[in-house]
Amino acid sequence: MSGSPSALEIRNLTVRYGDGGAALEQVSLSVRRGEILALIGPNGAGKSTLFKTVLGLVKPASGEVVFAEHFSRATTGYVPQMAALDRNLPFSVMELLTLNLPRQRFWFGGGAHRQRALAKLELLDGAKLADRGIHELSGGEFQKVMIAGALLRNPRLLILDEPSTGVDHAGTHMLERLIIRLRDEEALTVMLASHDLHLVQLVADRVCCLNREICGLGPADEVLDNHYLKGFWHRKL
Amino acid sequence: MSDLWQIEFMRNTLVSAAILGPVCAFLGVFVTLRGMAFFSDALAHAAVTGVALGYLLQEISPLTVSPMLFVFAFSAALATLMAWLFEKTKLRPDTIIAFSFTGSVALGYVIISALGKYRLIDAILFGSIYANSTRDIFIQLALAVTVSGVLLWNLKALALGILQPDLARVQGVRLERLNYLFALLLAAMVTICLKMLGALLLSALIVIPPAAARLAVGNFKRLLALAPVVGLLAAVSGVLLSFTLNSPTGPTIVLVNVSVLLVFLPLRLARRGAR
Repeated sequence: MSGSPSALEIRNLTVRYGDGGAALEQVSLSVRRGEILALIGPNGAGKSTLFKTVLGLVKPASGEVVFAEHFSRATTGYVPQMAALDRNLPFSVMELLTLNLPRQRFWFGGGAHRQRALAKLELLDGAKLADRGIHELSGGEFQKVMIAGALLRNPRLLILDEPSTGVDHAGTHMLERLIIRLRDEEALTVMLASHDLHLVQLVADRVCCLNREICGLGPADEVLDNHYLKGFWHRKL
Repeated sequence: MSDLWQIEFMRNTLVSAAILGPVCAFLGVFVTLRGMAFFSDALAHAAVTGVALGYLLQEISPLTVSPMLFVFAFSAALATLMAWLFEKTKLRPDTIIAFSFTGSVALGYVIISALGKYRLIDAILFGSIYANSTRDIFIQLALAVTVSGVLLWNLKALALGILQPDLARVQGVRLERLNYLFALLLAAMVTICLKMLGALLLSALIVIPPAAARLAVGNFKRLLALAPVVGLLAAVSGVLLSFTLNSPTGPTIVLVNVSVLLVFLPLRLARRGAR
């Protein structure tokens, strides 16, 4: 993996809040093709901001995000934090999924659109969820649906923001296997942010510790054993 | 029923209810899911100022411009201002709506009292649906087609904006522009519906049918289909009932809407109990 070409280069990225404070300070990072890169760090460390900058939702004060050949924002799938979505809204799983289909002006989610969405759900062993309301899903099922939605964009890079938050133990275990499967069988490059160090240790090829600036980068075991990180969580990792 | 149809003002009233009821409910699906129910109420009350400004201009200049144009202009300006404040300030939406709402009503009342046209207040607050002319109905029809067309054209963007705003932006949806467009549609709808229910009750036509439909169905497309049906039935049966009972039309329409909501409530509770 260490010799893999990059999918994405983040160069000297600085992002500032409206009041001028730094959300990210001179962050440089290379994401390798086919790897699972986990971002860890405390709340407010800039993990979601980094993702949003990669997606073009946040403009950096300086620095740049450069996609390698065959990678682009259009081929990047994004699963936001579960808390960012109101699951009490009256949408079915199929409606949520078909909204993810790019390049379609009209949206009714029938016919070919439904078939495409169903195929992605089947890929993730979630076909039985298709006609349920999103409010009826467990945390793990909901993340599965969100990932299926991101896959509808045929991504090469998949960004998962806090995928295990609000997910029970069984759901987290399912997510672990799913994320590894997406890398191994679908050849996806995955960036994820998580506070769940167990999940990170199990799935990540490399871990990046972020606290506005990079405070550690390397193989999971190496970074998670770092004394500086232990200070973040005030416990033995 | 056929006798009622022979009476021109009743015919116009029924046609008007049949046009505005469903389109208000259709628009209302997005209003309620975006948490803008109170926003539509504020725009309706801003009509007091729009009408007052219209009459003020008639007093001080020789121009004769329909007060409804002022209602639309003022509602659109207020809607744009509120949408801008939502975007640019850290104030909570309910706070912005509250001071816009009370400020505009206060301004309108001050102008009306200065002009001495107190009798206007009653018509603005409670509407006068029986005063619909054939010309009014054509304007309502044109607006209904326009509003429905714009909503359908932007259906995916609107749904994405409600459900996953970040994904909407990633897909290239200009959410800020869409928000302004939506606020303008709402302002136009409020202006045209003012005659039907008046400022005090108007938002019921927009909010209650989708709220009732949401109790009965669990997904977005069924909600889009059912809400206009509820809006149509409640508006038309409200007009008929008010004629039969000799009750005020606007409040009767609102009460029929509330009754439908109460009928649908057990459905929701039953579904929740079944889970």
